[in-house]
Amino acid sequence: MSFLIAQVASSTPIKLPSVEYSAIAPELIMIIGAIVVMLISSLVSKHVSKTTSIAVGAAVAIVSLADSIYLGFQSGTSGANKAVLSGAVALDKFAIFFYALFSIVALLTVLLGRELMNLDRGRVPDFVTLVLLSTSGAMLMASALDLIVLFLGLEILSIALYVLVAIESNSARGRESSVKYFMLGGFSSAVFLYGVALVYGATGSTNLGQILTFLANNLFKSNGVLLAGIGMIMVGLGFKISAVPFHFWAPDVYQGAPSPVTGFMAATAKAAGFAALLRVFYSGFITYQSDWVPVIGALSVLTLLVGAILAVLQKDIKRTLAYSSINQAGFILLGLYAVSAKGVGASLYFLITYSVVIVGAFATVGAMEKLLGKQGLELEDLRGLSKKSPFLTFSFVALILAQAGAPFTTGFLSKFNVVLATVNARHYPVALVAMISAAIAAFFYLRMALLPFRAASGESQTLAPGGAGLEDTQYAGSSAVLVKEEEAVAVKTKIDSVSVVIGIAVVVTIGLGIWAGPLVDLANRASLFF
Amino acid sequence: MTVPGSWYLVLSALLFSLGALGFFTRKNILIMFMSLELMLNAVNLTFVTFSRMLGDIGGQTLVFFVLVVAAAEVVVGLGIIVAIFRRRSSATADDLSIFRG
Repeated sequence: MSFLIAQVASSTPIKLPSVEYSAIAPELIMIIGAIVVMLISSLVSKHVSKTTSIAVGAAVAIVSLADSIYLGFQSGTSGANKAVLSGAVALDKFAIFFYALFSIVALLTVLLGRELMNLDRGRVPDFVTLVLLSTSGAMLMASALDLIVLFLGLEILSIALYVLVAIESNSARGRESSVKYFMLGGFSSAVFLYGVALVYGATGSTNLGQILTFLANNLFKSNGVLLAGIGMIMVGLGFKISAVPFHFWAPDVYQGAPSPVTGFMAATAKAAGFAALLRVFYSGFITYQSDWVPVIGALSVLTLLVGAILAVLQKDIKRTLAYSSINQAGFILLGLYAVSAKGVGASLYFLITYSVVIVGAFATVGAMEKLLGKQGLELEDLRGLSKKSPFLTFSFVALILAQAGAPFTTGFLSKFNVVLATVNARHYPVALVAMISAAIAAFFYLRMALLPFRAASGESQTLAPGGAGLEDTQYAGSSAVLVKEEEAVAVKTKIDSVSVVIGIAVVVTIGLGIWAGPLVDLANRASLFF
Repeated sequence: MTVPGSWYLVLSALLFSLGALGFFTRKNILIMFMSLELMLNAVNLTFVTFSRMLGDIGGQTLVFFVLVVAAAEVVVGLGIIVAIFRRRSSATADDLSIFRG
C-alpha cells in the first residue's frame, strides 16, 4: 500500500491543458445557474421555489449580461480576436455580441414564466432551468470555431427547446408541436452532421480556421464531396433559421408552443442559427463564396416572398407571427447575401432589435390570451381590445409596426440597412423583391395593428344600454363608470413582471428607433469578418 | 481481401439516404425515429472511414460526441412520444392533426 502511494507520488504529474474559463464565462454562468435552480427546486418547498427560481434565473441572466459587457470592454481595449480552448471556441466581438443578445432574451423570457406559462407549481423551476440551458447552447453556437462544438451547441439549444415546447402538461397542442419540432429538428441535425462529416473528409479537419487555411492553399481536382458537405451544412442551418423551403415546421411549432416559449424560440434559436451560419460561411468557406452566395440569395428571395404571401392568408395570430418571422429571416439573409462588412453589421443589428421585438410581441399575445381566457387567438379576437386593455393594445400595435418597419421604431432602420447593403452590393433585383415583400407584409401588419380599434361584432349590444329605459340607462351608466374606475385601480396596482417585459420591449424598440446611432455602431463593430 | 475506403463511404451514403427515405415515407412515429437514428449512425460510419483514410484520430473522437448527443436525443424524444401517444392506441403521424394551413 505504502509502496503504491510512493509510486503515485513519485510519478510525473499529468499536465492539464490550460483552459481560459473567463472566455466561456457566459456559458458557464448559464449552466451553473441552471444547476442552482434545479437544486433550489429540490431543496425548498414548492410555494417558495416558484418565485425564487424566477428571481435566480433573472439574476443569472443579468450576471451573464454584465459579464458579456465586461468582456466587450476588454476586447475593445485589446482588440484581439482570439481563439481559446485549443482553437475550438472564439472570444471575439461577434461572440460577445451574441452573448449579450442571448442574455437579454433569457432575462425577458424567464420573467414571463410566472404569469404567462400555464404550469403546475413544481414545473416553474424546470422552465427556468431549460431556458438557461438552452441559452448556454445558443451561446456555444455563436462562439464555436469548430464544427463539432457548433453541433454540440446546436443540440444543447434544441433538446432543451423540444422539452420547453411540451412543458405545459395539459396542453395537447404543445405536445403535438413538440413532436413535430423534435422530428424535424432531429432530421436537420442529422443532415447538418453529415455535412460536417463530408467537410471533414474533404479538408481533414473540423476546425474552421484549419478549414480556411486548407481551402486557401489547396485546389481540388473535383470538389464534389466538399460542395455536398457545404450544401448539407446550409440545409441543416436553414431549418434552424426557418428559411424557405425548410420552414414548414415553423408555423405549427410557433402556434402550438406556449407564447413565452414561442418568443424565446423565435429570438434565440433563430439568432443562434444565423450566428452559426455567419461564422461557418464567412470564416470557414469564404474562399468558396462564388458557390454558396448565390444559394443564399435564392433562399433569401424565396423566404421573403413565401413568408409574406402566406402570412396574409392566416387567421391565427401566432401563425401569422410565425410567417412574419419567416419573412424577417429573409431580410436577415439579405445582409449575408451582400458579403460586406455593412451587410453583416446590418444583419446583426436586425437580429438584436428583432429579438427584443419578437419576445415582446409574443409576451403581448400571451397576455392577451390570458386576458381573454382562451388558448390560441384568431385575428378576429383582436376586435375591441383597445377598450379592454389600452396598455396591451398600445404595446401590440407598437411591436407589430416595428416588425412592419415603421419609422421611429428599430424595425425601420433594420430593414433599411439590409436593403441598403443589398443595393450597395449591386443586387438590384433582389433588393426590389425585398421592397415588394415589405409592401405585402405591410398589408397584414397594418390589418393586425388596426383590428384592436374596431368594435367587436357582438359588442355593441352588450356595452351600449340599447333597449333599456331612461332611468335604467342612467343607472347602468353610473355603475359602468364605477366598474371602470375599479378596473383602473386594479390595473394601476397590479404591475406584474409581464407588463415590465412588454414595457421594456416597447421602450427599447421605440427608444433605440429614435436614438439609433450607438446600437448600429455596436453591430457594425461586431461584424468582424472583413 | 482488402476493402477500399470508398466502399464504406458509399455504404454510409446509402444508409443515410435510406434513413432519409424512411423518415419521409413511413407513418409510424417510432419507425421515423429509427430512421433518424440510422441517419446519425451513417454519419458515424462516414466519420470513422474518413478518419481511417486521412490517418487522423480526430474523426474517431467525434463519433463519441455524436453517440452521446444521439443518446440524449433518444431520451428526450421517446419521452415526448410517450407523452403524446399514451392516451392513443396507435402512433402514426396522421394523428398529429391539430394544426392546419
